[in-house]
Amino acid sequence: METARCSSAREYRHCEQACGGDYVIRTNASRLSADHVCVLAKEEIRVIHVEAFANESACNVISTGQVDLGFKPYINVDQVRRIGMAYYETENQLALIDHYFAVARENQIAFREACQPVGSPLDTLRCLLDEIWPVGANLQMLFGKKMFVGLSRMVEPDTTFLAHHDIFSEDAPGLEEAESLLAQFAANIYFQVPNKGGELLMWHRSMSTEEFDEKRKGQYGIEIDDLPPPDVVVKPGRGDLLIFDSRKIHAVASPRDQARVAVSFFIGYRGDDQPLTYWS
Amino acid sequence: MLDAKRAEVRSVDKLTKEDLDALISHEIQVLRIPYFVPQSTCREISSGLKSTGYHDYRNAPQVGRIGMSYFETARDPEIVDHYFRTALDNIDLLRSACAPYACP
Repeated sequence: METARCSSAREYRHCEQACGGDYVIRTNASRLSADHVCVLAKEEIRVIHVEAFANESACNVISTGQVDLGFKPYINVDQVRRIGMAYYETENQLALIDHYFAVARENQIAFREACQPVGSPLDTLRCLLDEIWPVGANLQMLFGKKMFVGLSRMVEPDTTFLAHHDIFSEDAPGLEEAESLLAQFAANIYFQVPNKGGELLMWHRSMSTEEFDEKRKGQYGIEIDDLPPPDVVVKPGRGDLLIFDSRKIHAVASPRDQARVAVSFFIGYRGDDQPLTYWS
Repeated sequence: MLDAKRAEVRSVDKLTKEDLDALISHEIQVLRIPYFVPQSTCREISSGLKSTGYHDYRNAPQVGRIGMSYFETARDPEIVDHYFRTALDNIDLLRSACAPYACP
């Protein structure tokens, strides 16, 4: 069986344009490769920045379609609005887990319809991951069911998406599907970005759940001012795709002039010879 | 006779496992999703495909294609190699031909 061969990130610094320091690889959809995923998994970089993944007309259609679908606050985070439901929202409660699976497919279909007539760049990304990863990529299953993928999110002006980390095993404790991850990435495609603000902020240091819970002081995340300056700052452009290490602490700087509208999902890595999986 | 033929074709709004099961078990012969691609998108993509340019199948010169079908390899190891060498580039080519629309 062919396996992904991981190159050192240093090689990319010679051939790909870096932005935001040495921790960001900038590329395009045609050049996105398994090596990029490997160096992200090995923590040699923090972010893969795929420019113009969705084109201008697609961004226009999709951002309008998303607004028409209607954003609603997370069940457990009032300040962030979304379409669809994140598994994080279930907080491991059976009734909410049932609801998550009950609405998964209809929410995926709704997003796909909101993308018409241009088509869903989320589906394109799912195909690309399957194509570039030697053993493919597929939708994550949990409890024998297909998970939801493709959470639309809106961060409104002067709202800060607090610093947090996303770790599947914290949302689905004790489950093999979550505990078996060696790395977890977040993938965001941006359909509307503010001119001012809206940067992805990342910190290198990993934080234990205990330390995170202490620092968040009862909120869903940590106030940015309670942390040192971020180690990596990336400003996505309209249509860009960012894939980043979601287990590192990250936040979104407040948009100043207009909302940041994106679609997001997680990518799970379990080794170079295992399929990638994705879910929201 | 006409009714029997109609029964062999199932038209659905969205794809489900039950419909695929019907196809697998030969209960139906054709599964049809009308307007899977919006009409305006079809016009744009067909124009993009024509601009990209069709080439004939190696072993069926009457049929134009973009990319390469595994059927064309005729199990010849050199052509099989070529098929795999060009597979991802050809997927990318088709995707480019569909731009600015996502490839359905």
